Amino acid sequence: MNKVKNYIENVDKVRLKGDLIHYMRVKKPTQKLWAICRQILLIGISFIILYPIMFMISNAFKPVEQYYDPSVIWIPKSLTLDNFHVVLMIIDFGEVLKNTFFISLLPALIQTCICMYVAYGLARFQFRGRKLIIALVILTIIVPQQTISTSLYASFRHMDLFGILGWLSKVTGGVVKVPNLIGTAWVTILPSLLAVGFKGGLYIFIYLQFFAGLPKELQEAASIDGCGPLNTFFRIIVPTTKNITLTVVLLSIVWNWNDYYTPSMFIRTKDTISTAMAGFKTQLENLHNLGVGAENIQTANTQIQAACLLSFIPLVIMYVILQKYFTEGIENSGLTGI
Amino acid sequence: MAVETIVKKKRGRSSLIRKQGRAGYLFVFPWIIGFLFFFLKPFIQSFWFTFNDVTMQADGLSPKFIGLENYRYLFLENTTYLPMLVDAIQAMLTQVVIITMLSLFIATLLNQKFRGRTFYRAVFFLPIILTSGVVYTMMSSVVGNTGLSSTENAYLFQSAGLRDILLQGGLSVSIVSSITGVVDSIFSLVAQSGVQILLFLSGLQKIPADSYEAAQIEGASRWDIFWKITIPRISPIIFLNIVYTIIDSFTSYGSSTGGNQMMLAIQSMGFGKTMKFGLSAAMAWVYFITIVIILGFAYLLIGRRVSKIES
Repeated sequence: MNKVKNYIENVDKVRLKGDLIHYMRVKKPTQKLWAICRQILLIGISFIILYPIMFMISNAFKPVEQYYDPSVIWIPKSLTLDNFHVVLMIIDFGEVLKNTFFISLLPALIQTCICMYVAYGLARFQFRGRKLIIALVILTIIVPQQTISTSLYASFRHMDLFGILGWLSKVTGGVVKVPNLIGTAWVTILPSLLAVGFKGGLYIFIYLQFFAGLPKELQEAASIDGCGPLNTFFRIIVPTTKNITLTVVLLSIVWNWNDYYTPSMFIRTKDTISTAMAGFKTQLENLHNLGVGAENIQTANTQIQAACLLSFIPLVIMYVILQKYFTEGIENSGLTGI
Repeated sequence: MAVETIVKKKRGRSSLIRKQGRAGYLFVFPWIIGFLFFFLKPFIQSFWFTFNDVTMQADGLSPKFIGLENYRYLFLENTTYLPMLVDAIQAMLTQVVIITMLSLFIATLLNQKFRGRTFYRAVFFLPIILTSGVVYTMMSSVVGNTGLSSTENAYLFQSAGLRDILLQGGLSVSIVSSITGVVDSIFSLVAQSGVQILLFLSGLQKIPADSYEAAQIEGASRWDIFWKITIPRISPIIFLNIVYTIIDSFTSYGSSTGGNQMMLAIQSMGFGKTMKFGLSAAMAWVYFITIVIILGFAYLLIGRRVSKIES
């Protein structure tokens, strides 16, 4: 009793929060110093991260003449949408967005679902070859895309399904043709339907960790109530994955959206946002050579910033909306599952 | 009678587990199909390509067997491949060390309770969204060199002043240049640490608070607590982050001015002007084997001392 009394007497403040009592000990001066240091560090690094974005926003709305004006640092003297007009002249955003949807977004969403499905099987069922499959999944994460992309290109060029379609084509005298899938969205949709799309192994791995951390009782309770494995999965397990699925969806949309390699390799005829951005600078130069737009190629930086801004505004908006789940939901997401 | 029951029970249990286990195939079969067709077949085929001179004809690729010629060319004749490889490895080593330490530090900061924590977390995860191949290279060329705009910005993320101070302080030139090299690339290092911070933060939050309280009651200093409690608990994540950073560093795209040139080189060899698929495949395979060897080292040195993540 005495000890408790001593302890209570030594606290500085007592705060009541509902039925929880928070005791705040006297803050030592070193703790205050640390808090200040911490703020400084965080502000410093945040500045490094936010600087490009601020630069982009500031410059995208800045008229071209003010780019080299030394008196204009962050806030332009006058706002303009001219840069955006130039960008829209060069990039047909409607077409690009439509392409990006089919080539990048749709496979991302499909892949999230299928990876969840596959990872559940790997995590919660014991069957022969399970460890081997997990090792192979890790292999798909390690191998760089270039190693397989040449042959993948050839495979898509003559989508032969192990020779079946070729044989059918010969047999039916050309009625059934061996399709050429290069330049279509199938290049990304097919692999993601089978969970081997871009970074698919990584998502399987994330879900694997998560499902391994779920209590077994969940499955057992479901099977006692008469659910088969599929039913258990769709009705019971899937609802528990809300937080982590949001994280994975966010990650997969972002990575697929920004993926430059796959579209530039397999789909050259249509532009997605990433390839459109890559070609933007050269097209801007071409435009200048034709006499349109700003005279000096150096001053085209404002247009470039406008283009960059347009290219990932959707992502930032999505991030801002979802980040609450992202940042504070990490605790319950079981992302690491230890 | 009793023996019969025992035998019956045993048989019943194992076949039920096996039957339940087989349901796993139901979930995994899409991946198996995808793996066989979209990974294994190209994987083996590209390995076969490395021993051929492959050209693209009207109805497909036509390989011409040339044995070890591609490899011989890469290692003995070509002057740019091996230096590029060494470059990539060097860059990877600095990146892994710095990013792992930096992200652990930041995650520890973000794990503490203070005002504005959510805001800072949102800011620090932003690089995950922003570092794409194309926009990132455009941004970093802007950030590192702002052309003719106000002169103070030109030195913003560069270390011109720092270099002079350190040199005058008496440090040798090589140490100074490695320190300034790190400072110069601080933007790209911070930008690449997004996922690592996320993973560390997730792991740090799993450490139960009572471990810390118990240690504090026992009178451990913060330093002790960090090394004896935090680090062992998150050691699997340290390993995971190291592996992830290695892979991320090796598979990242540089631009024509800097960064990891290897990916670009492989791509342009196969799909650029020359269209030599066999050589491109050989480059990719040597690169891949290098990555595997390095990952093997990472596992031997670090992974073994770490508790396993998966069941």
